[in-house]
Amino acid sequence: MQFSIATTLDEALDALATGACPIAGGTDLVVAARHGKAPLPDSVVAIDRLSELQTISSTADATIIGAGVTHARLMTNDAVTGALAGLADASALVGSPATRNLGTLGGNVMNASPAMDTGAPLVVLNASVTLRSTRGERSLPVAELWVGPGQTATRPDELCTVIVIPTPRVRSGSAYVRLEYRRAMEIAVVGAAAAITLGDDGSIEALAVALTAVGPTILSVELAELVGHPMTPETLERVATLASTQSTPISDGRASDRYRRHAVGIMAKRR
Amino acid sequence: MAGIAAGGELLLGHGSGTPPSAPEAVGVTCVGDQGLAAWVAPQFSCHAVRVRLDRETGVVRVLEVSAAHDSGTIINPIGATGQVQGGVLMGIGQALTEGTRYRDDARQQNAGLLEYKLQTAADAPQIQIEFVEVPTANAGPSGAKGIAEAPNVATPAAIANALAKLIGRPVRQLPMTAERVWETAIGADEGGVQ
Repeated sequence: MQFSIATTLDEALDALATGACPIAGGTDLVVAARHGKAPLPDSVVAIDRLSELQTISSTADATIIGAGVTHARLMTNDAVTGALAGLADASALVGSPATRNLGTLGGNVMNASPAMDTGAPLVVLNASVTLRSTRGERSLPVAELWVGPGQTATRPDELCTVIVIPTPRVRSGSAYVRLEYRRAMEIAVVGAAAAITLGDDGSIEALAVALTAVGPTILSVELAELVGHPMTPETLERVATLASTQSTPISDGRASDRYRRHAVGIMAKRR
Repeated sequence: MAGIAAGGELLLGHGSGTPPSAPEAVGVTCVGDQGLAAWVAPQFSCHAVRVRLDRETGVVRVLEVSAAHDSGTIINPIGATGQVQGGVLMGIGQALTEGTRYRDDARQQNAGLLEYKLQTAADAPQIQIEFVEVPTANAGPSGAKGIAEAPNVATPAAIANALAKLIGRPVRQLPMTAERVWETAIGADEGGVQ
């Protein structure tokens, strides 16, 4: 196996252009190799020392999170815990303290697991990723990035450098809840993120709900019928029903499809 | 006997026998006569639990466990306390999350600790331990009795009873996973659902 450590972004992009696979925290790549799920790639380039991937910055329009920012930083960063609470919630639930100190947002996003915790909040917060390669740069909404379990709409030479999240409007809030069987070292059985903006009169101006681990990718729930409604217990029940009926879960060792379909509705409406 | 017990009658029995033979005194090891005496002497224990049930999902959290153990004279309080704490945690795992699953070819499906779910330190409840040191004839050294497995026997039963009280009927299988608890609560467990 060939292993190199990139000291500049260009070095990393050059390595990717010649077929190397990027590694940051290694919490997916190494664990998958140790469990025999997928061997380590033939060529690996470490990107964990690239300072340009480690920053969180905010403008009036957006929060820009470096792909190398760890979950531990996200869950305690003021810009994230303030306006992007759903992402902070999810970051605080990822794996264990060790996972959160090593694992990065970029890694989580590019690993494209349908059970990833940060995915649903990124979808409801309208996040997009910036992809760089030696050929140039492009931006892609996260909802278009994931195309299947572990599959992204990226080319092998593209590196996710930042995640851009537009600043939510006034009277907005977001949250993420998940169903877990124990309180640490857990993978979401199901989960749900919501982002809501209320109008002057308190009615729903915008509402987005996305679901974890009930489909091949993070699923967005179609909720257009609820715009303009007040947020009442009946509205929440409707959110639960829409989430359950639109989910497409599978049965596996963690739960049956029937239980997942039920529980994801509960997560979607839960405060 | 089960019929009598089901009728609410108290079952009492008496008996005695000759302790099985053991190697000559070989100091303090478990297999020596002293260790065997500690094992054979009857131990008693009683656990009480406080649980929180999420009725909508069947997820159970154990908040508090009180464990009373008669293991005779406690010679090493720190060791004995640790044994009960560990046993209680294993008992909670047995009750709620730990279970081996097998594929059709008989290989274990959840052979790693990510999928075979032990309780973690974050799940540990408050555990109050009381040692009831009852003098027992023919016990081990200084009146000590065993404490090994006893601390994880009563915990699952106490959790099962707490859940049965909360949802009105018992969950019939260990581990009482969130899904099984939910199915029992909605009455789906008798309809052939696994």
